[in-house]
Formats: sequence, structure tokens, C-alpha cells
Amino acid sequence: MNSEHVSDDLIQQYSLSPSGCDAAASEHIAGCALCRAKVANYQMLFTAIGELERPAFAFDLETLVMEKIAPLARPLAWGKMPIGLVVLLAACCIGFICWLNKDLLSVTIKAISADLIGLVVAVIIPVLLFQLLSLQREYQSRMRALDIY
Amino acid sequence: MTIYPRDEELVTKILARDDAAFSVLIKNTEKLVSQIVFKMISSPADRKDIAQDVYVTVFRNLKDFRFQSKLSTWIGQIAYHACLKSIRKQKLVLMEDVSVGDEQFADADSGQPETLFLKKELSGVLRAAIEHLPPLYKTLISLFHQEELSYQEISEITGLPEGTIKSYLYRARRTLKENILLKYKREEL
Repeated sequence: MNSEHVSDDLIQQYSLSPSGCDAAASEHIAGCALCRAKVANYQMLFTAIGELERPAFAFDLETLVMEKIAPLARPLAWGKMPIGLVVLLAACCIGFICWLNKDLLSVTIKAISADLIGLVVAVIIPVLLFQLLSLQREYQSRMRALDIY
Repeated sequence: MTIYPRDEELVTKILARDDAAFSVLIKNTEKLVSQIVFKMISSPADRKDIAQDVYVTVFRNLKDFRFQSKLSTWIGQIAYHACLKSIRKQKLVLMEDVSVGDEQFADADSGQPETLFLKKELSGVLRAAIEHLPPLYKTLISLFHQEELSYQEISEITGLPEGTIKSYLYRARRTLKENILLKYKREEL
């Protein structure tokens, strides 16, 4: 038997699982009263920890959580439909109508003055920018909610 | 990848807006969440807020759960990181060296140590000794010895490598044992 006492690390390992410990350490522990006593201490400690009363919340967590998620669980109202989707659908509809009336459209475009086109572009660009910013803000808030790391 | 059928069934029901299924999920995982929250957070008000936030986060992100771990482990992970966020926000310490000096305690469990733990009511002394551990050590001790989670599951919850968890657990147990024996020795004098 090795006369040198086993390290605390191996004592803990042996206390958790005697079969998982290396043979030399196991042999020493079997023949050494001090190391066996240390093992006994750790085993008692582990048993005592396992038997400690589990903590419990002093409030009804289930009720509180169900109240909090109730508004989230409701189906989306029409008014809360993603604006981007509505804009996309509208653009598709306009595009389809224009394609159906392309001859009429070309005549109309020729008739429209450059100033009017400029005005339309000046309106569309800020609207699109606003949409993009809204999407970006929504994305960031969702990522913050997911911030578990 | 292991898919846990019960988890899959539960998640499917919750995503189909089954409130009862979400209640089951809370009941199934409340013990694990309370272990983590109690060990890491000392303020009762913060515990209440964090516990609720954990399940709101779970509800919001359940659709993104990919069954790469057990559902309970995923929820434990959310709880752990919510607590970590709160600790960092309040600039509290997650882990500090609390071990008793070796020279002070070299012979603490020599002689007849096996009788020391039996002398007094151990649970009260143990509870107090655990309370004095840093939040991370307390959490690891509870998850391993009380919830009987594997090193891998604890690693998934905390994001720490298994080797680090083993090392922290070793230090936590040693500190715990030494502090208890030291307390008994002091009382004997």
C-alpha cells in the first residue's frame, strides 16, 4: 500500500463513486483509517446536502406567469398586422393593376410632369425609410428579449 | 441529437395555445428554476421578478427551441442567465475565494472526524455554510447534489466547460466541509 495519503480531490472522487477512482488510491483508502474517515465525512456531507429542503417560492408562480402571458397569447388583431406585410401586398396589387393597364399607364406617365414624379418619390422614400427603421427596432427588441447569454 | 418525446409533445401543445400545457411546463420545471434563483439571488423581490421573467422569456422563445437539449435544461439555462444578468447589473460578485487557509485547517478532519458531522444537527449548520458560499458555488452544489444533474447538463445550463464545473465543485465541497468542521472545532474549544 502506498503510504502517502490520497489528495482531497481523489477523496472526493472516491466518495462520489468508489469504482470511478484509480486502483492505487482505492487501495490506499481501504487500508488507511484517516483517508477512510475523510471519505466518510464527504459521504455524510453529500447525503446531508441531498436531504436538505428544496427552496420554494412564497408566491403562486403559475398564476402570476399565466396572467403575464395572457396578453401575449391572444391572436393578433387586424390592426396589429405587420405593417410591412400590408405595404408589400399593396405594392403587389398596384403592380398587378399597372401590368393589366400597361398601355394606359405609358400614356399617363408621359402626361405626368417631372415635378409630380419628384413629389411621389419624395413621399415614397421617407415612408420606406420609416418602415426599415421600424423593422430594425423590432428586430433589436426581439434580440434583447433573447439575450440569455 | 436526442429528442425527448414528452418535451416535443408539450411544446407542440403550448405552441397551439394550450394554456394547460404551459401550466404543466411551469409545474415540471419550477423546482429547478427556484433552485437556481434562490441560490443566485438574495433579494425576495428580485427573485419574484426574475422567476416570472424566466417563464415569459420561455413563452416568447419556445417556437425557437430546437430540442438540442432537454426542455428543462433550456429553461434552467434561461433562469441561470437571467440571474447572471441581474448579478452583473447590480455589480454583485458571482464567485470569490472563500476557502479556509490550508495551514489553518490542515488537521481539521484528523482524529475521529466521522463523528463530527453526527454531533449536532447537521442540516442547520450545513444550510448556513451553504449560504456563505458564493452564488455560483451554491448553484453548482444544488444542481449536482440536490437536483442530481450530470456535469453535462450543468454545463449546458451555465455555459461553463465540464472541467471548470468539476474544479468549482471540488473547491465548493472542500470549503463547505472545512467550514463545517471548523465551526464544530470552535464550538468544542
